[in-house]
Formats: sequence, C-alpha cells, structure tokens
Amino acid sequence: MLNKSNGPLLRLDQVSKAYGSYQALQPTSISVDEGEFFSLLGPSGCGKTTTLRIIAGFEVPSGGTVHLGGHDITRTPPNHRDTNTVFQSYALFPHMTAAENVAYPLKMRKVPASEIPARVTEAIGQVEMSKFAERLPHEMSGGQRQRIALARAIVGRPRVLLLDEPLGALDLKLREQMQHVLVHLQRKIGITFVYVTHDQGEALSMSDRIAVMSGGRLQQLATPRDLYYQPANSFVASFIGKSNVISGTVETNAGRTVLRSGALSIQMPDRAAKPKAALRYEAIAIGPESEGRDVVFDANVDDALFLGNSVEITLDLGGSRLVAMAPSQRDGQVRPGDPVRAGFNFRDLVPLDD
Amino acid sequence: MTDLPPPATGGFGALLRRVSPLTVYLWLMALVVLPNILLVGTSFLKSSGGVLVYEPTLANYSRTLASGTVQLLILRTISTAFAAALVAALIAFPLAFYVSRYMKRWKVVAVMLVVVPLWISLLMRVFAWRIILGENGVLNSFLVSTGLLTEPSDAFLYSRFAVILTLAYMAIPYVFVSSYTALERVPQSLIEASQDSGAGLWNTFRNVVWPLSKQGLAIGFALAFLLAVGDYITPSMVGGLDGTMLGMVIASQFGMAGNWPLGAAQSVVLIAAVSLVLGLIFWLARSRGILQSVDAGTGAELRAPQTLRDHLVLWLVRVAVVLPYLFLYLPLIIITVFSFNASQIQTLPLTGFTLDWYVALWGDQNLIDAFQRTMIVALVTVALSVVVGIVFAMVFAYRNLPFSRLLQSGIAIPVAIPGIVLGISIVITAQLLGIQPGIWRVIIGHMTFVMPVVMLIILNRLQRLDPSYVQASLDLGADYGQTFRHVLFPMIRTAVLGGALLGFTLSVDEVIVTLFLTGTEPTLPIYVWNQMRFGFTPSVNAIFTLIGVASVVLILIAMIVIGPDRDQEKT
Amino acid sequence: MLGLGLPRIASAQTNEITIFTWETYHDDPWIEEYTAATGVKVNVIRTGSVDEMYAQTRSGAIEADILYFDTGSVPRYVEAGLIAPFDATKTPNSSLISPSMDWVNRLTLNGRLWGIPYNWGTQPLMFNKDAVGDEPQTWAALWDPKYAGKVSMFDDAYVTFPMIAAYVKAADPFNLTDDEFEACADALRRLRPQVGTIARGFDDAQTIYAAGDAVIGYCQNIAIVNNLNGLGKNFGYSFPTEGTPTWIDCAILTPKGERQEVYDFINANLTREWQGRFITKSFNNGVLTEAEARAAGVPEDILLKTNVIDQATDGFWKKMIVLQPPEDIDRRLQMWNDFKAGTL
Repeated sequence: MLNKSNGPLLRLDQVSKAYGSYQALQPTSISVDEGEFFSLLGPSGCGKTTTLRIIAGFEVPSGGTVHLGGHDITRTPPNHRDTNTVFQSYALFPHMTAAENVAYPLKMRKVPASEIPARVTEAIGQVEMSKFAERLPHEMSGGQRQRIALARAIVGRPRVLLLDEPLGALDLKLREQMQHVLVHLQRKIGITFVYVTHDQGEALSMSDRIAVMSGGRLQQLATPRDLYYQPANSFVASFIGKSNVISGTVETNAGRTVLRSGALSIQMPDRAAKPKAALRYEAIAIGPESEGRDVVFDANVDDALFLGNSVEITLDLGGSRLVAMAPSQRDGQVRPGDPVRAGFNFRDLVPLDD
Repeated sequence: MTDLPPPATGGFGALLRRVSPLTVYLWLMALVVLPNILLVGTSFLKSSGGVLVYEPTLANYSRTLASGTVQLLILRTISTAFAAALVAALIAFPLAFYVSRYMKRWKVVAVMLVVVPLWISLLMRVFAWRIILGENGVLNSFLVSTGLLTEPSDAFLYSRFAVILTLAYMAIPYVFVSSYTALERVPQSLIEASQDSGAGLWNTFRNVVWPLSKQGLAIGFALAFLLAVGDYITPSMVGGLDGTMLGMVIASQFGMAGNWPLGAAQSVVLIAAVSLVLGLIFWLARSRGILQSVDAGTGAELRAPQTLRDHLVLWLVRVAVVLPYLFLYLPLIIITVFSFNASQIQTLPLTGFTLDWYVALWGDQNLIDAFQRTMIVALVTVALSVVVGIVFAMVFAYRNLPFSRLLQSGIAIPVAIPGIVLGISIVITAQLLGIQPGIWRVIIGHMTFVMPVVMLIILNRLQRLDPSYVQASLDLGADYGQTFRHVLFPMIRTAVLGGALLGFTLSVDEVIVTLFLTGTEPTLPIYVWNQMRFGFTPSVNAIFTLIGVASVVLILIAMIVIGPDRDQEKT
Repeated sequence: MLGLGLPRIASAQTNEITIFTWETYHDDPWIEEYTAATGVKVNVIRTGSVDEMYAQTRSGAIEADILYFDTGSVPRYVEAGLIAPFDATKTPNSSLISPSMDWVNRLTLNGRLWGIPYNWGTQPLMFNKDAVGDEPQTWAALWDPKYAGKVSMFDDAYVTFPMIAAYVKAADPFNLTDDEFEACADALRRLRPQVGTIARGFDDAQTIYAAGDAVIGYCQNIAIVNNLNGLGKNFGYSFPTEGTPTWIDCAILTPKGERQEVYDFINANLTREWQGRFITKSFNNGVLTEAEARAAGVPEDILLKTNVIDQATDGFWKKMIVLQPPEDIDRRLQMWNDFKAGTL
C-alpha cells in the first residue's frame, strides 16, 4: 500500500479556484510526502482553507489536478477519498455520543461490525478520552470535543489527515498541550498530516514543511528552519518570526556596493546585493555583544518591551528604526533614551526577492 | 428592567421567572382549560330534544364507542389525514431540503411561493380541484388527448384518491415551512464531516440530516395531520359519499340534532385518538443533542454532474423541485382562468372572455369589507401570536416548568379540536369572559390555534440552540433586551418568520371557527362560504386571482428591493 | 382593554335591528332603502345552513332579533327557549299571505303563534332532460340502476328523510314506525351506490349538475333548475306522486326581538311591493297568492320559474309534504350518518 518510491503521496498541480470573479486561489503546485507533517500557513483569506477543501473534496478546483498516491482524485467526491478532516468547528454530530461519532466513519466505510468497537476504543484511547466515550458533544468541553473530532478523523486510518485550524478555538494552554498530542500522535500512527493554521508558532513547532500563503498565492514552501532563516520575500519575512525589512537603494561605487536605507548605510560584501533585505530581530546584537559584528552602528533606544525571556528594543538611528531582540538580564536593563551600540553579521541579512 | 436580579445561569430564566409562567397558566386557563372543561363537561350530560339536561351520564361515550359508524369514521378520518400528511411530507420535505441547502439567491422567494397558494380560500381551491379531476376536467382531457386514456375516467373525482390529493395539497406548505426551518439549521460542516467520513448522499441524509431535522418535519407533519383531521368540508366535496369524515358527524350533532353532549363525547374520543397518533409521531421523532454551531446551510453546491448517475440524480432533483410548484399553482391557474370566464358557473368548457367579474368587484363593498376585515384579523392575530409565541417558547426552553411537555401539548389542543366544537366552546368562553362578538372575538379565537403553531416552531428552534449564546451575551454586559435583539432573535428569526407565515395562512382561510365568532361582520372566507350555499359569483374568482397575483408580485418586488440573499464568502 | 377603538356591535341600541337570514332574502339595496325610509338600521347576517343557524343562535354566537327558518324547526327552538311568541296583530300585512298555505295552523304550538311566513319552496325531483328522457314521476327514479353514480343528494337528514319516507310510502313521513324506519334504512342502503356525491349547498349542486357529475337528484331548490337552464342546459323537475317535501320559511322573533320596530320591519317585508321585488329578483315564491303576485307586477316569465302559479292549482298543497318536526331527529340523523359512512 505504501509507495514511497513513486514520488510524493499528495500532489497538487497548478490547482486554482475562483468564485465568480473572485480568485480565491491562484494556480498553485504543492507536493506532500508520505508521513510528512505539512502545514499551510497564512492569514485569513489567503487561500489555505480553500486548498484544504480542495484536497478534502469539498471543492472542485477551477483548474489543475489533485493526485493522491498516484491517482487523480480531482473530481472524486469526499466520501470516496482516502482523506479525513478535523474541522475547525469540530463538526461533531450533536445527536451522537463521542463513541458513536468515532464509529461513524468505520460504519460508513463498511468496516465489519465486529472490528468497530475495538477500533473505536483504540482511537478514543489515543486521544485520551476513554472516560468520555458515552457523552454527547454538548456535554463535553471544547478541548474534549476537539480530541473526539481528532479520534473520528484518525479512526479510519486515512492516508492523509486534514486539519483545519483545529486548535483555533482553544485557550493557550490547551493549545500547547494539543500541539504535543498532535505531533506525538502523528509520529505514532504515521499518517500524513496537512495542517491549516494562521499561527506561525504552531506551524513552526510541528511541521516538517510549511507552505506560506497570502492573497491566494503560495509565497514560499520550505522547512521551518529555511523559512525562518531564508524567507523568500518580505511577506514571509514579516509573517514568520519577527524581522526588520530593510528597504533602500543599492549603489555601486568604486567597486563597493552600498545598501542605503535612511540613516543606515551598509557596505555589502558582494556586488549582487538586492535593495531589500530582512534582518531578524535577534540577529541584532546590543552593547558588548555587538563587538566584532560585520556591521556595527550607534543608536538611541526608543522603546524597550520586556517579554520575559527577552527584551524587544526599538532602536532609533536618527530617523529610521530597527528592532532588536536581546536576551533579558536580571541587571542592566536598557531604558528609552539610552545610547547603545548595536551590530549584526552580513549572513543574517537575507536578500528578499520582491 | 433596572431592578432585575443579576442574570442567573439559566440566561433568560431570571427574567422569565418574573413574568411568564403566570401568563402561560392564564392562557391555558382561559383558552384551553375553560373551553375544554365545557366540552368535556358537556359530554357527560344528557340531552333531551335538543336541550341539555344537567344529569351526569356515561351514555354518550358508550353510544359513541359502540357505534360502528363512529369507529369506522375515526379510522377513516385518521388514516386519510395520515395518508395526506404522509404524501405532503414526501413532496415537501425533499423540496424543503433542496431549497434550504442548495438555493441561494431565490431562497426566500421559493419559500414564499410555497405558502401563497394557501392564501386562496379553501372552497375556491376545492372548486378548482373539481375542475381538474372531474370527468370532463383538465386531467381527463390531458390524459385522453395524450392517448394515455381512451376515454375520460370518472375515477379521479369523488374518490379517496381525490380526498388524499386535495388534503395533501393543503398540507404541503405546513410540512414545508416546518421542515425548512429545521433543515436550514443543519450546519454544512456536519454534512461535510459525514461525507468526509466516507458517507454517500443517502447515508449522510439518514445519519445526519434526518436525525437533526425529523423533529421539524414531525411538527409540520403533525400540523398537517391535525388540519386534515379537522377539515371535513374538503373530503365531503371531493370524496363523494366515501369522503364522509367524523368531523361531519360531529358537526351534525351540534347543528341538526342539537345533541351537544353526544357531539362533545364524539369530539373527546376523536381528540383522544388523534392525541395517540400525535404521541406516536413525536415519539418517533424524539432526538437528542444540541447544535453548537449555527452556521446556516447556505452555500452548498450540487456537484457538477460527472457520471450518468449524477446526471440522472440531477434530473430527478429538478423534477422533484419543479413538480411541487406546478402542483401548488395548478388550482390557482384554474381560478385565474375562471375569473375571466363569461359563465356564472364553474364548469368546463369555457364560454368566453369577460372582465365583468373584475368590474363587479369594485362595486361589491361587502366583498371589499370582508377582505379588509380578513387582513386585519390575520395581521393582528399573527402579530400577537408571534409575541406570545416567542415568550412562551422561551418559557418552555429556559425554565424548567413542571409538566412542561404536558403544558405544551395542552396549549396545542385547540389545533386538534374540530372547528365547530372549538367555535362553540370559544363562543361560550367568550361570553363567560365578557368578550363581545366582533373582531376581537375572532382574533382571540384565531389565536387559540395560531399561537400554538408559532410557539411550537420557535420552541423547536430554541431547544436546538446552545444556551451559552444567551449566557455569553448577558455575560458580555448586554441586558435582556439587547441580548434578545442582537443574539437570540437573529438565531430564531427564520423560525419566527416561518411560524408567522403559517399562522397567517391559518388565519386567513379559517371558516368554521370564525363562523361562530364574527357576528355581523364576515371575513372573506365566511363570505365565500355563505356564497357557495347560495348565489356564488365569479367575482370571488376575481378577488382571489388578484390576491394571488398581488402576493406573488409583492414577494418578487420585495426580493428585488431588499436584494437576494448574499452568498456567504469563503476563505 | 379589549375592544378599545375597534368596532363593536351596539346590539342594545333601539333604532337598530339584527336579522339572521339567507342569501337572496334581504338584498343590501332593499335594506338601505328601508333604513332611509324609516331611520331604522338593519344588520343583516346571512347563514349557510339550517344547522349553522341553530348552532350559532344556541351558542350565543349570533344574537339576532329575527330568525328566518322553516315551520318544522319551530319546536326545537321553542324547547330550547330561543324564540318568542309572535303577535300577528302587529303585522297587518299578514292578510296578504296566501291562505292556502294554512300557515297559522302550522305555526301554532302549545296554543301560541310563533312566527309569520316570508317565503316557501318545494324540493322536487330534478333531472337532466337530455339524459333522462321521459320525465320521471316517482322518487323511485333515484333508485334506477341506470343512474348509478349519477344521483345527487344534499347533506341534510332533516330534509332528506321525509323524501325517503315518502318513497317507502310511510303513513306519516314525520312519525315513522320501527318497520318504516327499517324500510327507510333499506332504501338508503340501496341508494348509496346510486349517489355520486353529496352537494354541500345550492351553488355546489348547480356546479355538480352542470359538470355532468350528476343527472338526476333530490332538488334542494328549484332555482338550481332555473339557473342551469339559464346556462343553456336542459333541466326539469317534477312533483312525484309520493309527495314533495316543501318548506315554509318564517320570520321568527327571539325574545330580544319583541319590539315594535322589529314587527314594523316584518310587516314591511309583507307588502306587495317588497314581496313583488323579492320574487322578481330572486325567483323565490314569496308568500303572495298568484293574483297578488301579478298585482305586485311580477313578470309572467318569472312567475313561470316559481311555484306561485302551481300553488293555485287544485290539490297542490295536498301533494306537498310540508316539513314538520320529526319523531326522533337523533335516530334519523344517526341513520343518515350511517348511510354516509357506509355502515348502515
């Protein structure tokens, strides 16, 4: 059944979707490998949910094809696809108990009745909900419903599990807890996950690869690490983690390439510099730490936000601003108005395509 | 509103605790218990030569129960009404499903168009059906001309088929509206979740849509069933001798024989039998669970047909959508045609074109007065019923009244009482309460059966709503009024509208009860009713053609002005 | 609180009377004319059937001053205490009423007079001449298998039973013996397959005949025959040898109607002018004699459509069976209901 050798498990090829004149999804190609935890990340309206619904079969794309395990499923109805979805609203059947909800896909897929109870018990056990099997949805908390929705989606052992912002309605603590549950579960059962979220932290912490989307377009598809350190454009740079986007002009003068942006003027090491670059907050070092960096400059502290383990410092360079993130220290905090020395390395300056 | 206690966990419970249970009991007392005590009390009295004798007896019951005729007619009445409601459900439920889930722009129009035919007087519709089904009628002409029959059949009219058909016709809008309000609340995400779980159309329907909408269907079915049980005029007019229903016999006891005790006993037995059937219906439709998400079911699309099977399904769907409308509007077309027919009498063939009946209409002040009165009665009845219905539904939904189920059924009893019996009980009650004959008597009389319908439909919606919405709103600082206006009402709006529509329909076409309440000022149905007995004028066709056309045009204009439902945007 | 600002009926006002009558009996223009002439406002309520009138009056739904119903229904109203004795001296125009009607006798009960005639009518055998051929002269025609499924009746045990009783040749159609009841039951059983449908009323019957759904039947009102012929159909009626049920509708007072202006109205209804117009407009028989009707200016062709000329023929009233209170309406009604249900 597994056919790793035959390329990606799930392949979207130039898939697009239009509602009337509104282009919800521009032609987009994505491949997801067997066993991968794949995320679609972007703000609302970016086309990520549309992409997910096309994979699930709730929408037929306006153009392009969807292949699962080498078969064209573009027009296969959802009930004949080897995918299952965890819905944002959980979509638990209100008239069925937790166990009945979980048993539902098995019944629908004609699993022999004798197998069903054991598999339901197993799935409910995997999400640690054994005690609540006989409850109706309205008798459960949000987190409990979420787990049952998850159990219902995995009980049929789909080849791809689709998760549509499944943690969106949960509070922070539950959310973090559920992230661990999801990652743990994914490793244990080995199902391919396609995970839709607008929360970059969630995506970065759980995913093998992430497709960042915006305005119906795929912006960048990469591992969390690459996305973080090598954002392709300013959207990705600002959406993933926290980056300064330095935008200015590149001047080549007497063999030297200089990027000018406001008061900042950086001598670039190579000639092919682009006029736009991203610089992570934490790539800027403050005070003694800045010694020996490729670029060192003086600035005034405009504002300092204490975030617990770190401090976010806004630097005023005489008109233009840069934000730095420094580890917080028990003593010696910076205050607005303090003059400071700061610096960064060339390799942290990520040229942007746009 | 200023000195209300802080909102309790029950949401509206606190507010309702102060004002409402008392009103529920008062309503029950004045409009249900009192008339029914009179009815039940009378059934234990003796009658001598048309005069009540105040001596307790069980003789009326033993006579009723021993009578083969009563037994047969109860069975026939109930089975006919049940069959009619069933046929109506088979037609209306799929239609409601389609309209609620697959229509977008013209959804409201589609709903309204189902209801409009019922604004045309019952008698007019019956006449129209006769013209369609008669030996020289439209159906026979069609069948003979297409070669399906070699000669006209007399099997259509004056048969059980005709009875069930016409009763089902009248039942369709009730089943439709009630089912619609339930189906509309089945979240699209649940349907997708089911498909996602591997369920096809049928399994999704059976396991998800059906359990979540069957209560709504049951209410519509019950309503249709009750109306069919109560309507003995239609069966007798299209069913021939075998169209005789128990209501007719009961009416004859109250009228001709003047044997009220016997008629009362027969009514009580009928109500008991009907209650059994209703109990069974609601038992079958019992369901559990509360809907947590309230996304309305718009936006689903029928998949573009891929296979031959898809094409077949799509074709069947189209037929299932269009046919009921044809069915509903056929009698109206007949009425329209005859409003331009030169003959005094409503039979085929047509004799010539005339506008005389429309011209005559302008001069007929009685007819115009009757129409105005009908509108006033219907609008006031519906407005009051909606207010009372919402309050009562909230009382039942948010307060744990003792014997809540029983009280609900109690309030609904007048819907199940044969018209003539209800009419007489209300007259006597009104006299006891000092309510003068006239428009207020009619309004109060109509409210006894309109309010329960409105209440039941709203209650069905409320019971499926998560009470935490109300609690959340109160928690966020909204007062009861704001919570109702901004949170609760938007969620029950379609149920309120549906209930109001049905209530209006019930009121606007009521004959038998109204007959006892109007005094000197007849409503339009009464006017037509009396005309039918003596000196019917085709101007009646003309006025109902105008009403029908005006309704449809107004609906379309309103839709164009207000604008069609906006499509929900997707991300 | 209720009724504020909404119309109410001012029933107790003196210069106002309320009558509970029938379609065609008191047309609005006549009433307006009367009000204009006398200053007395007349509220007209029209009923659909004898039963409705009784039930509405008895339940108090309608509180009228004058009721219009037939002589045979007088006893049950008397027994229920719904009507008041009538003082004929206050209606001098009663002298114009055709004496052959024998109305004083028919309206006297317990030694008192209970009303005064306003109109009368026959309920003969009617038929479609094209379909029937020779004019049948006996009720037995309704039982003729030739007309199976094409016989029309109307739903009124009170009026229908005397016809059935006449058909089985009961000695007194209003006082049946047990044997005669059994004969009636048997006749009804045999009648059932003959009957296509039961008309709900006058207009309904007309439609049924016109549509061809019935060709022969018990005629509720000869106006049906006249109207059908007016539409170009070829209908006729006959007075069968067994006798023809006939009704005499009377103006009858309720206790609150014992007032001078009420009597005045009834008296005005009996004038030549009023009756002449009534007969001319509605083809009803009114209460005038043939001579008086002619004197009132009723055109000849209209007289021919009524029974006004018939009644002047010798022995006419002998062939009529004027409706009387039956021995046991309960028993009749039950039999009729059983007949309709098919369980007789």
